[in-house]
Amino acid sequence: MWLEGKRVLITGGSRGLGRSLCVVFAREGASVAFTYSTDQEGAGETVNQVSVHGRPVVSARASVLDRESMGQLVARCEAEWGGIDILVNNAGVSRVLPIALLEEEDWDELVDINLKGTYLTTRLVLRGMFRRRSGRILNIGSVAGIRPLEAPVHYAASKAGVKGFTEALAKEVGRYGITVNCLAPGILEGGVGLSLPQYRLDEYLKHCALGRVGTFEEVSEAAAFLVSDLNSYMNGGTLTMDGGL
Amino acid sequence: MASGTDHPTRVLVIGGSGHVGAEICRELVAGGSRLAFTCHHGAGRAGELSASLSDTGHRTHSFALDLEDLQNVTQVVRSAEEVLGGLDALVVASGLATGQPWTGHQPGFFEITPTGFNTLMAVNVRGVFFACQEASRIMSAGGGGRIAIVGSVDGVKPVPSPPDYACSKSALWGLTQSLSKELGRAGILVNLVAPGILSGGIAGYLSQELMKDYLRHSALRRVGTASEIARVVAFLVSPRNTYLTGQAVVLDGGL
Repeated sequence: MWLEGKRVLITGGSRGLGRSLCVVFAREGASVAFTYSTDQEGAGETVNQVSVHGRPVVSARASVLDRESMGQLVARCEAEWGGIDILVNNAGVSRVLPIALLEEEDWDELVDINLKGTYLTTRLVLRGMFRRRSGRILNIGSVAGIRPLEAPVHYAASKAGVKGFTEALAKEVGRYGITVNCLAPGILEGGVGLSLPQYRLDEYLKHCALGRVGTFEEVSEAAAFLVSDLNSYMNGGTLTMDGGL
Repeated sequence: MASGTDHPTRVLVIGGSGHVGAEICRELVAGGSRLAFTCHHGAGRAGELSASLSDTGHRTHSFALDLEDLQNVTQVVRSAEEVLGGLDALVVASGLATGQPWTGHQPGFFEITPTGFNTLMAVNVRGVFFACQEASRIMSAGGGGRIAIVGSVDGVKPVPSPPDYACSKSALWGLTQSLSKELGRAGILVNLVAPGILSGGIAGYLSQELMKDYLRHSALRRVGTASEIARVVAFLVSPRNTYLTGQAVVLDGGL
C-alpha cells in the first residue's frame, strides 16, 4: 500500500474526482478527511465508500473560501490525528461561458474557488507541515491551464494559476522537506468536459493518443503515487493526464 | 526491497548495469518482474548485477549491447523477447556523458569534435530510437506495453549543461512525445524521466561551483538518488499507470 499510515486532507470530496481520490487513498492505507461545499448526500456516499477500506474518514461541510470552517477542520485533524501529511487541493468548479457572456462576478466566483481556495487551504495546512518539517501537497490543475485549448477563459486562467502557485510554493517550502506538485487531468468520464458539444468531444478524442477520455480512478492512482513516499524527488512539477493529447 | 507497485511482468532494461539502470533492475525484480538487461562494458558488471539479483531469488538475463551497432540492438531486443516469453515494458537507462575520449572532465563546447558528437548521438539517441522501434513492434503485436526513457533535466530545462549532452537528452524528450502519439492507439504508453543531479554517477565529475549552485537552487537542497529515479520509472511502466503518457517527469527536487 502506497499510503499506509498517512493522514490526508482532500478538498471537494463529495463527488467525481474528489470522491475517487478519497476512496483510492483509503484503499492505499490512508486516513482521509475531506470537505464538501453543499452536497451532503454525496459526502455521505463518499464516507460509505471510504469506510469499505476500514480507514478513518472525516467529512466536513466547509467551503475552501471559508477560513473559519476550514481552520476548524485542520485543527481537528491536528488534534485527533496528530497532523496532516498530505493535502490534495481538488475543490474546483467549471462554468462554460464565452468571454462575451462572462461577467465580472462569474470570473470572481470561479477564480476565487479554484485558485484563492487553493492558497487559503494550503496556508492553513502548511503550519503543521512546517512544524513537522515534512509534507506532500498535490494541486489538481487541468490540461486547460497548461496547453492552449478551447476552454472557458476564467477556468483556464484559474488552473494556470494553480500551476504557477505550485511552482513558486515548491521553491519556498522545499527546504522544509515539503514537496508541492500539480496533476492536470484532461477530459474525464463523468467530468465537466462531457458537457461539451459532441463535435468538440470528437475533436478531442481524435487528438488523444489513447483514443479515450480518462477515468477518475486512473487519475486517483497516479495521484496516490505522486503523494507517496515512493515519489520523493519530484517537486514543483506538473504532470498532465490527458491520454496523450 | 519491494516498493509496492504492481510491476510489469516482462521487462527489458537497456543500460541495466549502469548507475541508475542497476537500481531500476533491483526495483523491478523486487516487485516481481521478469527481467532482461543489457550491459556495454563487458561481462564483469553484468555478472555482478545478475549475481546480486539472484541473491534475492530472481533469475535475470543479461546481454552485451553496443548501441552503435543497430543490428546488435535489434538482435538483443528480440533475444530478450525470446528469453522472457514476450515483452511488457522497455526501460532505457543507457547513455554517455560525452562522445569524446574521457579525460576526467566534461569537454567544453569548443572541444567537441564532429566524431565525438556523432558517437554521442549514435549511443544516446539513434540506438535508443531503434531499440524503441523493435520493442514497439513486439508490444504492439502483444496488445500493448509501456516505455520509460531516462533522460535528464539537461534536456528539458535551461540549465548549465554540455551542449552535446543536452542536445541528445532533448532529442529523447522529442522522441517520447512523438512516440506517445504514434503508439497510443496500440496501447503503448511512453514517458520520460528527467533526473537532476544524483549522488554517485557522473555527479562526481561536476565542479564544486556547479554543485553548490545546484544545491542552492534545488528547493529540496539535496541531490537525488538512483533509487528515487528507479521508483518513478517502476510506476510509469507498471500496469497501474494506464493513462499517463507523453510526459516528462522531472525529478530535480524543484530546480
